[in-house]
Amino acid sequence: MILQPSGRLNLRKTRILLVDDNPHSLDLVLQVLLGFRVPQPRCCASAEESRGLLEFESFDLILADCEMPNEDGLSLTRYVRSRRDQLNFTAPIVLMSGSTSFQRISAARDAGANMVVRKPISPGVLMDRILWLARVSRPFITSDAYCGPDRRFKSHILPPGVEERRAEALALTASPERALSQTEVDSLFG
Amino acid sequence: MAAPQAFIPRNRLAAALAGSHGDAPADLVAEANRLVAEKSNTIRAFVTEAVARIVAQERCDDDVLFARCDSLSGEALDVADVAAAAGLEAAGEIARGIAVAVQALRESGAWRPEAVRLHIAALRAIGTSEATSAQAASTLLAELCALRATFGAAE
Repeated sequence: MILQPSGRLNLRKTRILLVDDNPHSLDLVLQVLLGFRVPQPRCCASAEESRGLLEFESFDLILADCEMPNEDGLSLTRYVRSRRDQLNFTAPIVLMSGSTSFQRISAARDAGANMVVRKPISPGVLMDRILWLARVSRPFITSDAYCGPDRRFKSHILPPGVEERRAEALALTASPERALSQTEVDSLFG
Repeated sequence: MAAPQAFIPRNRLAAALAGSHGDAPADLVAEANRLVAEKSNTIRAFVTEAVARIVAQERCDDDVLFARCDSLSGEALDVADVAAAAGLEAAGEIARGIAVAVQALRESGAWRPEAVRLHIAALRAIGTSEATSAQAASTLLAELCALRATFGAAE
C-alpha cells in the first residue's frame, strides 16, 4: 500500500458517487465503501440518472461501470470532463470494467478517467487506488482535444541504468487483444 | 483554438489522509471483505439463476441465438461482474468470454454460433460449483481464450 503502515485513513466525510447498472455489482461496491466507513455513497443505476446528481453535488470520487447499456462509463467520463464550469470537472474518476484489453484501457484514459479497476472489485485493490489518488496530485490538462488527468508518463530524467517505463507500456501493444493484469492497467496511467 | 493548460487541481481525497482520527487501511479492507462475504449467498443465487438462463440458450437455432445475442451478452456480463465475489471465478471468466466473443463476432460481421455455443457448453460444464479443479478450469479457460483469438476478440 502507498500509505505508511502506521497511517490512518478517514473517509467519513468523503462524498462518493457510484454508477452501475448491475444491481448486484452496485451492491458489492457499496458494501466495500461502507466497509471503508464512507457514510452515504450516492448510487445511480445509469449514467443518465447520475447526470442529475453531478449537476448539483460535488463529489470527491466517482466510481462508474465501463459497460452499461445506452450510456457507458466512458461516455459519462467524457461528459464530466467536457463541462469545465461544473462542480465535478476535475473530480477523480475510477472506471470499473470487466474487460481490460489495451484498447479498453486506452479508451478510458483518453476519455479522462484517472484509473481503471477490474471487476469484480476487490476491497484491497480499491483501497490502494483511493490511497494512490489521495497521495498523488496529478496535473490536470485542459485543451480542445482532451480534458483530464495528465496522460503523460513521468517526464523527469531517469537515473543511469533505469529503464524507461514507457518501453514496458508500449510492449503491451504487441498483443492488444489480451486482458491486462491490474498492474499492467495501472502502468498505462503513469 | 485555446492553448492547452496544465494545472494541479485541489486533491479532493487528500483530506481523508489528514489527521489521526481514522482507521488503519488494513482494518477498513478487512471490514469491507467481511461485508462482501455476507453477500456471498445472494450473489451465488443470482449467478446460479443467470447461468441457467444462459445455458438454456445453448439449444437455440442459429438465428434465434443471433437475435438474442445482445441479451445473452448483457446477462453474461452481469455474471462476470460479480461471480468471483462468491468464489465462482471460473464461471465468471467463462461468462466474460461469452460477452467478449459475442461482441467480437458482431463487430466482425461473421456470426459463428458454434463458438458461442462452445462457451455456453463450457459454462454448463463448469456450472456454479466450486468443486471444479483449478487445473481443469484453467485449461478450459485457456482453450476458450485461444478460440476467441482466432476471430480477433479483444479480451
